[in-house]
Amino acid sequence: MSEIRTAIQSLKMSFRTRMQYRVDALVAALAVFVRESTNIIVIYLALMKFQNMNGWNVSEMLFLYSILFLTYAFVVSLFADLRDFPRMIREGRFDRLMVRPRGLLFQLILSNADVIASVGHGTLGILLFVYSAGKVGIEWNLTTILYYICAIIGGILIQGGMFIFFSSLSFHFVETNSLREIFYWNMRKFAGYPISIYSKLIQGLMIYVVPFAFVNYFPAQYLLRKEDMANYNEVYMYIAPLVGVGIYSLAYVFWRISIKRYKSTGN
Amino acid sequence: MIVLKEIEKALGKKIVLKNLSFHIAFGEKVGIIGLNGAGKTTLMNVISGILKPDKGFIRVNGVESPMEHHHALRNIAYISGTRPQLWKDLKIKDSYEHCQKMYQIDKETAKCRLNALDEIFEVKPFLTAVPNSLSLGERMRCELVYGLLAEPEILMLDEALIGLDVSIKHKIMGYFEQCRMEKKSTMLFTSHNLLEVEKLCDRVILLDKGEIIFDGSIKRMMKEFAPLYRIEVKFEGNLPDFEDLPLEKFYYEHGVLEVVFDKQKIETTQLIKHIMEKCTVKDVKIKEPDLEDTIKKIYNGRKRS
Repeated sequence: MSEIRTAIQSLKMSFRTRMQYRVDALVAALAVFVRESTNIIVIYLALMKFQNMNGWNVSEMLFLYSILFLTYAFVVSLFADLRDFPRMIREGRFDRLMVRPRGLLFQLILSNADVIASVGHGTLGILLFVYSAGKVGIEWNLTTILYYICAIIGGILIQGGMFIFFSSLSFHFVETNSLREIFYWNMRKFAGYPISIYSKLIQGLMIYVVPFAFVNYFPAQYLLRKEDMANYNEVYMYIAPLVGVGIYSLAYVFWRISIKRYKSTGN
Repeated sequence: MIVLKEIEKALGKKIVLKNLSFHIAFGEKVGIIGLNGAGKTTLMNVISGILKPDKGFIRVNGVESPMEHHHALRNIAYISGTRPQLWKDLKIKDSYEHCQKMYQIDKETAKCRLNALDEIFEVKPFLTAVPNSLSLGERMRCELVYGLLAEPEILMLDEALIGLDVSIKHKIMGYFEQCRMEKKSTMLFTSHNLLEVEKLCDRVILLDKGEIIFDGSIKRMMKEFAPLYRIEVKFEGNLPDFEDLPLEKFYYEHGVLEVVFDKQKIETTQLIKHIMEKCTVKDVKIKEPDLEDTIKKIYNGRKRS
């Protein structure tokens, strides 16, 4: 109970911080929305010309993308401090969490929530979902709705787990931003398209190393059953929500081990 | 209660703490002093659990690593002049509200404590302000209140009295003394201001390059490292002779006599009595060796050896 109250307090604090300059906050949310929309416009224009991509039509592609946005809208608020973790360490802001009587990840999660970015990503995700969900031939019944919710939670956990993993690396190496850039942000861009269009190497990376495929591709496949699923093991569709739990737990263990190596920054 | 045994800690390749052992009982007020880079903050970080020692044994209130035991952390406040706890973009009262939730303090209790703390720290006028709009001293007072709201058993202050006015500092020191008497709070200070340490602490731990070079009361340190006292005497009449007294040195200039003596060999009273018997004394000034000089002397002594 007290955990929940503290979490709500953290969220309130982040919201107040971010809303200090209201106009600025609104513009920032709009900027995120516009920036991310350009990706969508590119897909839309490309598919006007090619009709489909490996069998995926425009609505299906947008449905695939909507999962990415919706999960990220949660990730960016839940894990904002872990997204910017190297900076937090450099500025010495991490020490203060260590002397408070609560779990570190518990304190990091929700603290400094980037609610502005959440609004940007979330709005876009909802718009895309509303636009595409009715057109892609999904029969929305109890099973599919439950699966969808589990898949979204799984997708949040996968990305949160990755942030925790990359943050843990900060205890071992001074500079980890480029790793994060290559493996998180680039892979995320790839995840906007069905992974079957990529080379085997990238597909392998996205399934086994940086498992973005389980964030949106396999969950979308469960609901859409496109032909290119024949390239992969069918089990992947069913275990997609579980992968999140697995990745998150692994990342948590790695975090616990890594934290012992923490060297505070000097005064 | 804090127990350290043969603690060693390296940061990178540099060994910052070497073979440290000491024991701090409930209700002690201990100052950790040393030059820049002596390892003061690292020592504080090890005690608070932010850093894990490479070797050795540590117990804080019976717990090995406070960081992993939240009930233990609840009883420790680590207040630092350089690592603020307050949210820099939010009002002070928002930070306090967060503290109340974080430390699971009952709302009414928190209110009472804030009222009580306000009598000493006078933070009420700043509650709706943002830390950045306050002066250093004002911000530090708010930081101290943040740390004290949870009524910690162990209070660790790392350069936490910077920027404070003398009058309020005086009140704060009184408050700490009261905490110690009433609640048996244990206190640890690091400071560059030796005057502050002298006023606040009964015991000092002197660090040099990660090693303890002295651990004990300030009185004992003075006696061991600075036994030499001086008295200045203005007098009328003839210069008394000191041949039968075990003095170190004496000078006579412009009608003022300056005598340097070792307190272990002769008592001040005895010396003064001797002088007063021999001549008419107009004025006497006794100069105790000051802490700063003593420490300087200790460090210089070590450099040479």
